[in-house]
Amino acid sequence: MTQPAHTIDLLIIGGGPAGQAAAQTAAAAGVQTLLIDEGPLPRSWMERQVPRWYGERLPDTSAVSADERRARYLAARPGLLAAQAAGADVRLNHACWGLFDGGVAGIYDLAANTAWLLTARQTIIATGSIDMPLPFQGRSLPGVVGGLAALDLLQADGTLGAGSQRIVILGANPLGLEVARRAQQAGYTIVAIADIDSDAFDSAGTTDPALLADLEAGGTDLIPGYTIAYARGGETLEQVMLTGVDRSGQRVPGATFPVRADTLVVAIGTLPSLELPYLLGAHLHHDARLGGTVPTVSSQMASSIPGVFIVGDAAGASTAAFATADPGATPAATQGRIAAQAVIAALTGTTPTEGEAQVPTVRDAAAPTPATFGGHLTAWHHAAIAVADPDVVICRCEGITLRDIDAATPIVGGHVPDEVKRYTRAGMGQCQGRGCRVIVAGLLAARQQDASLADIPLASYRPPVRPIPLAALAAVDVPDADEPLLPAFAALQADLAADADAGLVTAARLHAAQYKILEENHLARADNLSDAEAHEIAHALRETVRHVTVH
Amino acid sequence: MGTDMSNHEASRNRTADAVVIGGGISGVMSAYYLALAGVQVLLIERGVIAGEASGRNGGHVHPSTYDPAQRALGRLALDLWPQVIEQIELPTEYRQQGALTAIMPEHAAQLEAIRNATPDPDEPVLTLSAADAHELVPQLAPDIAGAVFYPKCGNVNPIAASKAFAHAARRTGVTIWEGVTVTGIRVERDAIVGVDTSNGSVATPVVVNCAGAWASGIGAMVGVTIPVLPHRLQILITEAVPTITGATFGGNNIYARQALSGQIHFGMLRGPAWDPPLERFDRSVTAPTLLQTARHMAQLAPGWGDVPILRSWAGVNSITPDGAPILDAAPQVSGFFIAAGFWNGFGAGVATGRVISELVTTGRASVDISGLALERYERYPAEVAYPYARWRGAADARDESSGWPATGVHVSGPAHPTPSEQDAHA
Repeated sequence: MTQPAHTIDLLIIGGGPAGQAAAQTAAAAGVQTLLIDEGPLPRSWMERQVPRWYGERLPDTSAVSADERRARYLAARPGLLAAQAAGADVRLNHACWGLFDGGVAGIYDLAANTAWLLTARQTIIATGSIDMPLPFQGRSLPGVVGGLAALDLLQADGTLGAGSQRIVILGANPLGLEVARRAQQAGYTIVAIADIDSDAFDSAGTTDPALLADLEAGGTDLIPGYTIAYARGGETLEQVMLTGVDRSGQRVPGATFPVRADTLVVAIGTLPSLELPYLLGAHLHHDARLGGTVPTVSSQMASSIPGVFIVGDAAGASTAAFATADPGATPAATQGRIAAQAVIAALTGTTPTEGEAQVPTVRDAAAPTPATFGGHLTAWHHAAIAVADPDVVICRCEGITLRDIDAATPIVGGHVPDEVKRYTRAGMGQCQGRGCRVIVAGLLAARQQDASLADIPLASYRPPVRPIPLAALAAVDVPDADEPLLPAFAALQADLAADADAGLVTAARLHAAQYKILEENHLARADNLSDAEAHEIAHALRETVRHVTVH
Repeated sequence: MGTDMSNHEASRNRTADAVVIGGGISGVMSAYYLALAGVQVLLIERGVIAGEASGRNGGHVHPSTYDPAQRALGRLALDLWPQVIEQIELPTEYRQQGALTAIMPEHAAQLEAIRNATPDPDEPVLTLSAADAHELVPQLAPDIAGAVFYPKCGNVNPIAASKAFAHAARRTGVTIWEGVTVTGIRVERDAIVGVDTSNGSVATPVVVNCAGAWASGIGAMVGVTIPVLPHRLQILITEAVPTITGATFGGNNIYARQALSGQIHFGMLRGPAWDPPLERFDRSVTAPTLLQTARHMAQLAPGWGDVPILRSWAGVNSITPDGAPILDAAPQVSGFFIAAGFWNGFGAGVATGRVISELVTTGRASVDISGLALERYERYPAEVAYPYARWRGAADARDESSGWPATGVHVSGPAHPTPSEQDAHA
């Protein structure tokens, strides 16, 4: 496959319902549209939990060719085929590892192991959401998996691992129930569903009575007011220890019991993928209903960065997506179409068409009701810390424990995630922080009276936000040479070299002077200085370097 | 915040023997050594300890001893590091296992020159064959000419070390204010009498300016021109790889270090000048420098070509017109001390603090720092040092927070020193 053009009208990052709808709308209007999607993910990225919590029991995909996997992936997403039919350039196995000023995007073709930069006049970020992690002992056992990851795996392979049969689900919210529904369809036994909220199963607005009745009839234990204490196992998960917690998040004495299971799905919540908006410096705010920190977007789904739109779960987790079988009918898809209309308007210099875009409260309509995960995320984290052993691992990649983080906070002088991260390395491992940055925030919140996740500043993201091999980045076509020197600065360089030979300028000072020469050259070129002006600057610089280096 | 209590304590006691401005390694170690000498110190940091260059550098303990002006300071630092690490008893990942610089094939002559140079017993420099270099770092390019090895150098986790030093300083009696901004410095009869801050005023006869890239703004508060400009560096980090060597390594314009946890941190000694101007206080990572750094690293060490890059960061350190720092008592204002403009200052940081404490308490340094005097710039007005200031207005292109060039830069009349003045300086 050849590389797409290096300059395009519209880049859409992510091929879920929002990205699909945006691509269909934009391409149908004749906009030059490139849609990239990471999937189907290679095993090496799933091992690094990109982008979701796939855990340690990954499917064996070796028997299926890469082409076959792509074909299956596309077949499961007719919206991508429709976007392609409308004229969009749809690329699977393509990731965005960074967004930079001026519409510059870093792209990586996983199949070809090639990276490059492209410039998009407009960008729509539709990167979805990731699993909300939770700290407990046994978190890394094969068989422990995030809720979104479980849905991905069930859809792609119809299984959560060879031989797996008995599932415990944490989270009686739309995500957890969707996992239950699909796992049941795939032949799994749903042993138990636990939720920290003692009213979780009474909240008619957030639960599916028919499904619940069906599960209960099938023997599923519905356990309100409980969270996980720890998980045990050997080669795979064997036992989940559940513990009752009261409304203040403290363990209820005596209320602890084990459940035998080979699979634990942690479906307590989802987090918008914030990496790319963060890199651009887009305005973010906290909204517990939408999964925590979310990008601030207009009714047109425009971010605070001109030419950049954020749609779908990336703009705020939307559990409503689970309620419908038709991706095109989801709020995420509506947001994708609204953004595409705004892009069309921006590119053609018109105003957006009437219709969906005029609905100012579309995001409210798309938001889950408050009784779903948003309000309980902090509760899960506070309880997890309250019941945790000090040796519970917070950052799996770096092996940083709760005890390590607690020891670090007085030294770094506060409960600031970036400082804790920089000091302890929690979040700096191979999963790039996807597995623990929120856990660190939850711990820091739990350590402060009455603090919630909303009170903890967001730790920073830096490019590349995907694990891109050194050689691939090294091969990206950027100018290697410094700008050509204007004659005045070329002469200066020769003069200084002669000075160095004569012992008038030390090597160290010559090195420093080289910075100045290139900088002055850059500024002189940028300002279109005349030869005479450039010579005057070069002369002054030469005087400076010589004066301060003669001893 | 952990600093609340100390803020509160200091609010009641509004005097200090010395106020150190800046919570990077220079400021922290100045405070530490001053406190050891019995001086009651208040350290004021605008952000957090090691929030800027001291927490955002390569972690190399490789002071600029190759520059005669910085040689004595650098050698003192190499001697002090192991002592300080032992004293503070906190984890810093410090290792004194040398620094390796690979010589690319096109620079083979350099290696020959170093091999033939007269050895300095105080600072051994070894030359390694390509085979020996590959023994230490097998991933280096097969065709390197060889390497230079500096056995006394070391490396450290710069954030852990800075935070640990600050913790040690607190234990020694230093009060640290984080998140407090200095808004003014009071001078009477050419002598420091106090500091005004966002947390109130403090009476003190001594101010130590360790404000890094912001040092010129602090200097401007007392009318002292400190020609320091911000200088951005960017570093990339790999996924953890099997341990190779405890030495730092570099070459091909790259400096690199493997952290104890296995990741390799690497940056470019000199990035492209055209990737936004160097004077900006900007900590964003830019694509051109990121990619060029990757390219230089892949040329230096192609053996790691398949290793994923996980992250990067940018930091702002500072640079002076001649690349050497300023470490001095300001001649114009009694009680005003300066440690700033360290382009490569982390490795020297412990010695910088020690020398500052000597300057404050005894009026003289135990090592030769004559080449780091502020005077060398006083004689050469800033418009000579920074010619482009003439073409770009003082307000343009400069971050207001730098304060530079609030004083001392004028468009007219560059006063070049006469040759006799040069001789006097020499």
